Amino acid sequence: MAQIRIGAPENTLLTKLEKSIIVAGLLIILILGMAIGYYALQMATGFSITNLFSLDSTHSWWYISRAAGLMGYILFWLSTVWGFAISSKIFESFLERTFTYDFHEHLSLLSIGFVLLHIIVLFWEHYEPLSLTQVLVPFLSAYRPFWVGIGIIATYLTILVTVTFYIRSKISMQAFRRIHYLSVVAYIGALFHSIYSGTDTSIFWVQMLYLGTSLFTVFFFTQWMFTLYFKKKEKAAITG
Amino acid sequence: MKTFKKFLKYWISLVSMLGFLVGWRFVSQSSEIDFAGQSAGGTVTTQSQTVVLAPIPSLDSLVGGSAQPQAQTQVQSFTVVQSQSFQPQLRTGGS
Repeated sequence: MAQIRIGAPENTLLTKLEKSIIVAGLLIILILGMAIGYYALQMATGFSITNLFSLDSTHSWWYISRAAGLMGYILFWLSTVWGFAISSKIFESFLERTFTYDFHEHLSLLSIGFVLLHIIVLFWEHYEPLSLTQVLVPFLSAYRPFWVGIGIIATYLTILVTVTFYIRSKISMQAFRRIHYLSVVAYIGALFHSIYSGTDTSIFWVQMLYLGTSLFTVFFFTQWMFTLYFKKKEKAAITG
Repeated sequence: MKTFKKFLKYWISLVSMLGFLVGWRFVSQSSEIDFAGQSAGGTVTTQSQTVVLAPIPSLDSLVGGSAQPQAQTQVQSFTVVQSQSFQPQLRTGGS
């Protein structure tokens, strides 16, 4: 028995090491394959990443910032809608509650990641560069100060809401919920920031994106409100 | 279920990265981007920019006739556009 006990962790360690080596090897092969594939494509068709992403443009940093901002918005929207769905108990019948919470948190973290990329890239943007103060303090930006300020406040609120995932055990459930309600304000702020300070709002598919996500949010928000209303009514009927 | 959870997390992360790249491509190739709004006076407030004006020549140098040629060249010249002469058509009162 003692021999088995000693041998088991070594086996597990070896398996982990083997797994890591295999994953690392696969990654190297993948990167090399992509590099060779890209080189071959460039030689055959004249395709280049510089042309594909307009890397030689004076606005290249701005494009990265805009794409990151749009992705951050989509993920934040998805996280908000997912949150409404959890509260409305839509997933209860087919998904574990722990998983739905976990995924909600994952979406928020991904969204914050893209929003940070959206902000950090603007330091290198030489067309309309932002200083650290302009990024941290709302309404100081030289570029559309009001709507950029709204975006900064929305980011702070999102970070605050995400932080509560990690201190949930230390604060009361009521406080957790109340702070979580701020994510609705943050979503509205993010939406208006995107519409009024985004240089790509004139693009048709971007307009459709804002419209579609807003409609979905209104639908899920209404459903959540109805759930809350019926829950309260049910409680009142039991106690009364 | 655990594998499914992990798969879904990796999948959404990967899709986000791809979405970012696709968005970058579309935004950079779009001709409809409104960069005019960035530099337009109506939407941008330039707080930090200060306009440096050329020094004003002293009055003595202008009165004494020893004004610097540079100051003279800065005088804006106007071209007078000749207006078309208006000649009212005279009509006779008829017969």
